[in-house]
Amino acid sequence: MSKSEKKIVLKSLDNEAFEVEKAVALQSQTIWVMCEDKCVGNEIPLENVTGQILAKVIDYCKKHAVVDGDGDESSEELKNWDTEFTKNMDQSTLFNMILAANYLNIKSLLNLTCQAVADKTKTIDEFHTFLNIENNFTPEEEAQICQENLWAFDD
Amino acid sequence: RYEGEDRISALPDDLLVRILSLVPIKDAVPTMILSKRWRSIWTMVPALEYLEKPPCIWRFIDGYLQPHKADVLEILAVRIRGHCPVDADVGKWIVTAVDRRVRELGFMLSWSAEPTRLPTCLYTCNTIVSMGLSHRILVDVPSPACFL
Repeated sequence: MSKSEKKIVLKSLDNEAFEVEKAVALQSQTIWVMCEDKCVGNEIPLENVTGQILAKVIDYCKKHAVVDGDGDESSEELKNWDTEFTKNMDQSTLFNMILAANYLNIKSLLNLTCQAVADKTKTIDEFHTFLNIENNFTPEEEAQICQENLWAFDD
Repeated sequence: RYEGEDRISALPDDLLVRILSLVPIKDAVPTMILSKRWRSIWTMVPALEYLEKPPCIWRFIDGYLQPHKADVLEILAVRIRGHCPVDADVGKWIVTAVDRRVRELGFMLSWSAEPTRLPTCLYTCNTIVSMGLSHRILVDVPSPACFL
């Protein structure tokens, strides 16, 4: 395989182009299928992902790819890197990363980003404070749900 | 704390279910009172693993299984220790789980009650791929049993 065939260009929704190693991009099942099924050349348009988010996805995929012997870090290091990767993401970024990982079908990234949300939300109060979820039940509705589901709120 | 508005609630159902699947079930179920958007997301979480020792495990599992809506119940795993209250109906849970096309079933009943016989539908359930039964369970596989 020549040098150029090992590269692939990913084009974001807002027309940002990223040239990456094929081994990096093919962690996405969606891209893998696109490469297999269509004669798309070496440029893949990704209509659901912005350049800002795609850049982060590519960072993740580079870290997790094994390219020509590079990237074979210990699993411990990789785990720490993953933790750092999502640690300071704001909710909007996390939201877009989850959608992108789902669309691109990168299972490990989808798990990582969903886990980042789950880790922050152990109690109902945490759901409200960390995720800013607004309680739009009336006090009567809320009381009724609690009353009908006492089993769910036992300690 | 995340700044700004609530974006996560705008995710499609399947992704919210995925997030709740990563939260212990005891914490996932109360999300029903978060907001209207979250009212019934928990009913689609496909795995119930209850390995803790709460006082009201019976009521919890009954409450969980009745409105459960996932197409397939991936996992029902329950570990029960201690004394056995009169209203514990493991058989009913198993019938429900078989009905919900359970794939992995685990029951460990280390309680003080007499060994329990399980419903025969368990032994002809063709969706189960893995099953673990231990302690006070009387396994009386009828013939013909049929596992695929």
